[in-house]
Amino acid sequence: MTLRAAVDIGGTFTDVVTLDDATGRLEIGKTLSTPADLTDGIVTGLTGTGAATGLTASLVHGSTVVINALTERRGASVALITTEGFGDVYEIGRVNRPDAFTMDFTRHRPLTGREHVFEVPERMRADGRVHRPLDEDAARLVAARVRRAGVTAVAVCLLHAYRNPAHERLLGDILAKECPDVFVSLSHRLSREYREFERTSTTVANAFVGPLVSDYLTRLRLRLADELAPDARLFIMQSSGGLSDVDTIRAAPVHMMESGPAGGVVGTIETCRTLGLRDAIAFDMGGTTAKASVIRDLTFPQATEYQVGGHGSGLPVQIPCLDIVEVGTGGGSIAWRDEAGGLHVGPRSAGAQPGPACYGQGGEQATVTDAAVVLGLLPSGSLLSGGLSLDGAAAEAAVGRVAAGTGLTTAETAGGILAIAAASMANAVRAVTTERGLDPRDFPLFAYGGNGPLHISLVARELGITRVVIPTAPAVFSAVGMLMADIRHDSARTSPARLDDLDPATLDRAFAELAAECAGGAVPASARVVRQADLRYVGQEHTITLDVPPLDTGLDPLKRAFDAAHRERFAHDAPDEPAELVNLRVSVIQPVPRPAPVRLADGDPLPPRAALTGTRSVILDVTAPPVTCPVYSRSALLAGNKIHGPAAIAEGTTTTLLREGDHCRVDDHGNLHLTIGGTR
Amino acid sequence: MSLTDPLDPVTAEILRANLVAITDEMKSNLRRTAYNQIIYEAQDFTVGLFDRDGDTVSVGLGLPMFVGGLSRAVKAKIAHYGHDGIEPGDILLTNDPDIMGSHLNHMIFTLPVFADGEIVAFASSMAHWMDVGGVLGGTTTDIWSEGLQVPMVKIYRRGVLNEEMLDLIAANVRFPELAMGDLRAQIAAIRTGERRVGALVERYGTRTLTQGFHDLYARGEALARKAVEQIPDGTYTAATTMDDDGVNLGVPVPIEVSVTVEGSDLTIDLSGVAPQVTGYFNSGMTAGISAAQVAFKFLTTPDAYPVNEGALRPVRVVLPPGRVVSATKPAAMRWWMTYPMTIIDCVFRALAQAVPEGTIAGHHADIGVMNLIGTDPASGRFFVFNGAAQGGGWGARAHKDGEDATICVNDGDTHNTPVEVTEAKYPSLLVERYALRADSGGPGQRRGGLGTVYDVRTEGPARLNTFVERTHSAPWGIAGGAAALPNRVSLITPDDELVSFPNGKIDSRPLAAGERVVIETGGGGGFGDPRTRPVARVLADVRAGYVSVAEARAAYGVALVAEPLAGAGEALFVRSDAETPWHLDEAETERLRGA
Repeated sequence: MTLRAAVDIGGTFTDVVTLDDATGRLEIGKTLSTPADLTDGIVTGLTGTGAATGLTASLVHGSTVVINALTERRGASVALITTEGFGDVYEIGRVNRPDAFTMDFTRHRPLTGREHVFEVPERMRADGRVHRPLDEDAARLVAARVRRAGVTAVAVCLLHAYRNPAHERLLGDILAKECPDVFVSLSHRLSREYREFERTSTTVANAFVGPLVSDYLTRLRLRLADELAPDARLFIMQSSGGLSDVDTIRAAPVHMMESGPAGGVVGTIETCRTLGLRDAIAFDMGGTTAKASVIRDLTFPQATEYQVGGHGSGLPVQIPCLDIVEVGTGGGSIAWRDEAGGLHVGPRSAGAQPGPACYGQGGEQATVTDAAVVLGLLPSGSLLSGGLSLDGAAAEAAVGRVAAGTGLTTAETAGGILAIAAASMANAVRAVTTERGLDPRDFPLFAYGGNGPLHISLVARELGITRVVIPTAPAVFSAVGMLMADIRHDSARTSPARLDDLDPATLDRAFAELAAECAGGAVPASARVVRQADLRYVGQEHTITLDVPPLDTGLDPLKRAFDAAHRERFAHDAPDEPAELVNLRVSVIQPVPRPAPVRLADGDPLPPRAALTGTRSVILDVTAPPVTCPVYSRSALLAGNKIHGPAAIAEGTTTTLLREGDHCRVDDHGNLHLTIGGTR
Repeated sequence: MSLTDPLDPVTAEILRANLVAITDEMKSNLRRTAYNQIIYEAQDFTVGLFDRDGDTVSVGLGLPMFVGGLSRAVKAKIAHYGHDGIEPGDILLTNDPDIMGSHLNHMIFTLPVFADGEIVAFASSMAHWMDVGGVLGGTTTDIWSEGLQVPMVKIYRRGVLNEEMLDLIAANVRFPELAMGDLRAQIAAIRTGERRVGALVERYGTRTLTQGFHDLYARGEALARKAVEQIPDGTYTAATTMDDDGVNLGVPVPIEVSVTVEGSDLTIDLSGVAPQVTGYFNSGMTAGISAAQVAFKFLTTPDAYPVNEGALRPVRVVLPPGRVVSATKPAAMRWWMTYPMTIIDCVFRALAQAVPEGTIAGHHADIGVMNLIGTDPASGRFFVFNGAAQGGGWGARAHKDGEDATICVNDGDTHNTPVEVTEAKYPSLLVERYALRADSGGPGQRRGGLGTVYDVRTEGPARLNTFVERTHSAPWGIAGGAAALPNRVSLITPDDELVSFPNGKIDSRPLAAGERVVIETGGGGGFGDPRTRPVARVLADVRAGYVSVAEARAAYGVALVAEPLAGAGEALFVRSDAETPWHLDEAETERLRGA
């Protein structure tokens, strides 16, 4: 027996799953996160699932450690070194003001102060020519000042280093010599794309979390070797949906940013593959937010930039990252009334502490979860992780306070809170579909996260989606997805040139260089190389990223592919206009073998008697009396079982809710297929 | 149909969220499909949904200064055709400056949304076309020299495109393929609005939807009135001057506003604004009224979305025709957006007398446009470089320092252009420096934000135009705060000689290879007496280089000396000079601050 394990650390819980390669059997563990030393939670979780043995061959790890350090601004004291004349680029940013009518708008807040920004005399041109050589004496002086400043990390971002990194490398050598104990991050090692503010912000963010994450990963590797699974290989889940080795991530920890959500999307893609689907919407609803992303043709939805803290006041990180839209609606989102009496839900959240009123930890404000308890969708008195039980009276009182003066009953208000939450989450799905010219009704909707399966029926109805899939282990689905990810490294380079000035051999060579850079040497024969290019018509600003076809017949196929992509996206093209190539992108993907998914025993359409564990009285329509709904245990269901709403399917602390008119079929692998509001 | 009973709060909130989402979707639809970068980079567009009478239900910005412009255009179209004259499948187009109040580049498309044979709403989009004909660059003194004017027309009639009209438009613009791309994008955006409003009608019915609009107005109005009630009754005035109109150089153009508060009503009187001018800085009535509405929105319901009719109801705008912000034909309007920004700042300045903590000091109030036209010496390719949006200082408030390097009030989510992008696109330009402008923030207990310095060298011969205003009237402080440094345009010759100008408008000046253009944007004004700013904060500003040692003494009364005195505090290193420590002279500081 060999086991593979994945650990996903979130704000509240550390999720652990193990997979037996031989049987495909999945073990699940959920334990409270341990902020003081996150590795404690990992050890506890792994021990609980039996993964802490010599049988474990590999451990995949994803964590919010990077994103938390950035949003809570707990990180290293960082110095920034820039080209002379451009020390303020990081502070100036992009000057935009997204909240157009407020005097109290706030811009991005740099992670380091201006007194820690140093400039060096040097200058590259956009074509990579040296305009002014690096003044090495001045650079050594700056290094000495960096040392004196007492910082623990230094970020270096020089103009046009994406094109010619020679000066950054030289400066890196000088810093290594003069400040040997400082974590050094050079911009070109993280991003070879232009736009100096975004690259600087990426480099500073990396330096800011560098020492912390580096220590953390070192400790994790040691504990894994000493206490748990000495032979296990440790991999880190990246925002790009691929795995990386630990040493790469220690130098470039920003790649860990969205590892959890990326895991969920990889899981959705791989589940689609076993189900013979190519497109899907991935929907993840947790305690504070709901996230949506759209998968087309089994391809990981990728963006080239990420904003830490949202648009406008956020800090950009220019790395390949999961393309996702997030709204502030989760189980803990607070319902409130404005000065004119209007009812709203979120984006403020009760978080894990005090949590919803029904957690009985002193929360007074009504949340989405409290509304679900009032309606009986979650049973009062039932146990939660961490030994808490749901307090129905507290939920009732909290929702009652919101109802006061609206003319609505407490139950009507609870129903209203769920409807408003569903409308808001539906708008997140629209943002990744209708806003991009896609019709959400064409996609199956995968729902996971602790709260996804409970609310998905309403969200799907709001969107007119009839086909919903609840994958196995939805509450720890991100960790499950991490077990299905491939090893992947990405590289990109900005090198603007008109297509008619380029020849295929030059382009093939540039791609080969990038691929070797990704692979850290020769590309192994077993690896898959994805070649992409960002193109635009000459004179345009925005580009389209597209796969580059084989170039043996010249560049015409690339130009035609670009014209076609432009037509699909913008509804018009200009085949006679010249096109320009801006960025080259390469991903080298090393497939990780995965076992066939477990096969469930066949059952009848009628679920086995043992699966029916009881009934609940629930309010599904606030204008009608409560109805009695059967409750099934998911783990006892068999392939081919059918369940008709209203019904609840429980597993651990997560409930899948079928409303009136919803139908569920259990497939061979245990996924639940819901038909929303349809006929049998 | 009687509209009396408000909707239940759940339906009301779901409708509200959907209306915001619809205009968001119209917006991303337009940005995604537009062909020209002024739309998708500078965000010079506005989309919106309007009720049957043309009142604003929700607008998606785009361009904050256009907040009231679409509603006025929709209403003008309703007045022109009558409800009975507008049929399903019609799409109405105009860029009449008397209607939309700004330059002719702003094309406005409007589409009626029908349900059961009745108009229930309108969807409309304005976007800035790259070119609409007219003289290329230089000075204009009437509207005909500024390009194609499209009166009120139906570009689609009952779903059928008027091809001849399209040909006429295409024949009058310099980049017809761009223009047609933008036209398609604008129509796609309003069709998105039509489709999604149609889905709401299907689900909730016309009656509920219309009631939902009116509930929104009522809530918006209630919130705005509550805010106005916090302002003491009275009449408050403020005045300043613009540099000149670009034609009569050196002749200042006076701006005067008067704000009267009476209970929950607020009147903004712009009768005191100068008459329309010969040059191209005029704007129409719609822009003048919009400026007053933008100021009102800032003051009362800054965070309430969607932006709708109700939230703007309590403000009355007095503006006779023929002023520089209510100009009539044949006034030239190419630079329409500049003066209204200063009107907004004047409204804040007037109200600072009543509620200093509810307002904000003056900002740099200009977008800093320069353009360089030349031929790249290496490739021989002709180029036009448009530099703008370097960001300048915003005013301080009672509770916070002003923001540094931020886009002016006319624009919202508009970004600057990265230096690396500019240099890759224009290989003969070399940006020497893009930095915060030290000492540009107005001193105050709360300091105004800093402007920026953008210094660019041309390595080949080129011609230069700049269109920068407010180089004389500095962004003011309020509540005892001091003024900031104003905007400034200068040149540096290859021998490092500084060339200054009487204003910020340079018309087709030839530049030699090696010459540098320097645009310095103004800071924001300060709030409160600078001598009451805590010494520690002044020292932090000096350490970071936001404030110089000399300014710390002159403006803030904080004295620093190079030689440590007896009992002097720890050494303070100024950012720009790490080797020479400064020390606080406490006795001298006390003397200066006491005086």
